[in-house]
Amino acid sequence: MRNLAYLDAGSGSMILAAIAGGVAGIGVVFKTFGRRITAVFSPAKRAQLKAEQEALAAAEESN
Amino acid sequence: MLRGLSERGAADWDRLQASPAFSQLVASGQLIPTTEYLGPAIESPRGTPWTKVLEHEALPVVTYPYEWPFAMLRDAAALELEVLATALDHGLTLKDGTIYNVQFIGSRPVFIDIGSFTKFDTVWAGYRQFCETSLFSLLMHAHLGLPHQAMLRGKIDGVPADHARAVFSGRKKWKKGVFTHVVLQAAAQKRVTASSESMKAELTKSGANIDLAKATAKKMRKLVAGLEVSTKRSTWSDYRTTCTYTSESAAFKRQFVEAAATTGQPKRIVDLGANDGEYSVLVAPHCEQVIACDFDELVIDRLYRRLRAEGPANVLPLVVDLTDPSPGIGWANRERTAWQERMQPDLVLALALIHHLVIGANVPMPMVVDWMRAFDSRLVIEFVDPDDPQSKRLLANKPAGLFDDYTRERFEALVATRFDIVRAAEVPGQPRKLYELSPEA
Repeated sequence: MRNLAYLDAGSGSMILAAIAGGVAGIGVVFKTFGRRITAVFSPAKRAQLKAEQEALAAAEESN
Repeated sequence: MLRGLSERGAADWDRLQASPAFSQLVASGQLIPTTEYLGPAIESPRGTPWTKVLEHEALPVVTYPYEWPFAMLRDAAALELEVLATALDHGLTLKDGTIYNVQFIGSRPVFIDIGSFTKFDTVWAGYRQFCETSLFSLLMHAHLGLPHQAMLRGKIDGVPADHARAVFSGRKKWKKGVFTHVVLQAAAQKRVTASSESMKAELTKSGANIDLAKATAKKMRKLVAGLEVSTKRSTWSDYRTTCTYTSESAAFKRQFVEAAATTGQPKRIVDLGANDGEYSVLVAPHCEQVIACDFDELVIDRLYRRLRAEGPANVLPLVVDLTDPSPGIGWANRERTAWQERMQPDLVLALALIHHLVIGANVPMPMVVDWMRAFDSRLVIEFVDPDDPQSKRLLANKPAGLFDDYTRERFEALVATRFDIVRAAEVPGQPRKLYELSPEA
């Protein structure tokens, strides 16, 4: 369980503060996240990304 | 009004003071005039002296967004974005985005948080707070007709993105400004778990710069300024055309009220049940500040727009339900104080009000008189007899006999033990009587 009290909702909003600036802002956000940006808004991609990250973490642990 | 600054705060102040943004914003009336206080050192709550102390021009009265009608909240939000844009033009930004940084002097919004100005770093960090304390409420008010007052009064931090998201379901999410600021923001807040600091660094690396922040401020200013409520008829919006006053009795009433305002040099007059503000505007030239209170949001919204366009500049309209005025909220109920604590009038007007409180709202008459005495100021009050057509309309909705004690005799008996009667006069041709009262010593 994540402790919600320690979540920083400000970081998610920061992306929107950039997007709200229009095309240039959207560009900045895409650059920041690369393909991760699609994961932010799509549960399927997010699950895929999470699986990849977990696989990576498991690989690191076994090292 | 003094404000202590820490070392970091003092550095921000020095930067602001040296910037053309400061003089420009003060000259335009958008920023509260502020100077350095050179009196004896003042200790901070941490036990050490403040690095610097600032002195702000005192506001005539402090009011809160949950007491403002739609257009006031919108104009306050637009002002905040204009201040941000000016700051950005000079390499500065605002640390936060709370709407409580805006106050009203009469009908003019002014930015009061000098401590919010700091050096620009990356995207506007106050964006989320701005959305929560003003933009979401404005969007809900404009697009869905949900009044913002209850929402902002309910929570000092305003409306979180996921709450706003919940009401913009289906096609509603395509209303102006909603998809970006509400839908995407709620989604991003849920899913982005990076810390703000690392996010800042990442965005900067990807090219977020001051021009992007300027574009954000400009676009949001345009969105906010373009928001509008649909106008509909309210209970009171046509009061002036349906009320029972003849021109003779109206002139008499105006004279009586004006005479009270021109004696004793009142600084602040509070008009309770101000309606379209006729009497607030009448007494405005005779005092520093009039606060025109009425529970009808639409009537107060119209009054505000009229005051902005035509003046007088020293009337501040407020949405206040007198049977449920704003309580103290926030930390220890002291961060935002209760409405009545902030009023501190020198003269109260309560014209054509008492029958609404006693008959309409079922408040026992002794309580109403005690409450009026609690303002501890002079009072001009109009007693509306039970056989007045307006009283009859209210009584028609109530069981017979319930308000048998609502009589002029009983009112006068209650007043006599709490106030000195300075003057009293029958309104010609009306079953109404006007009283000027002063609190009994």
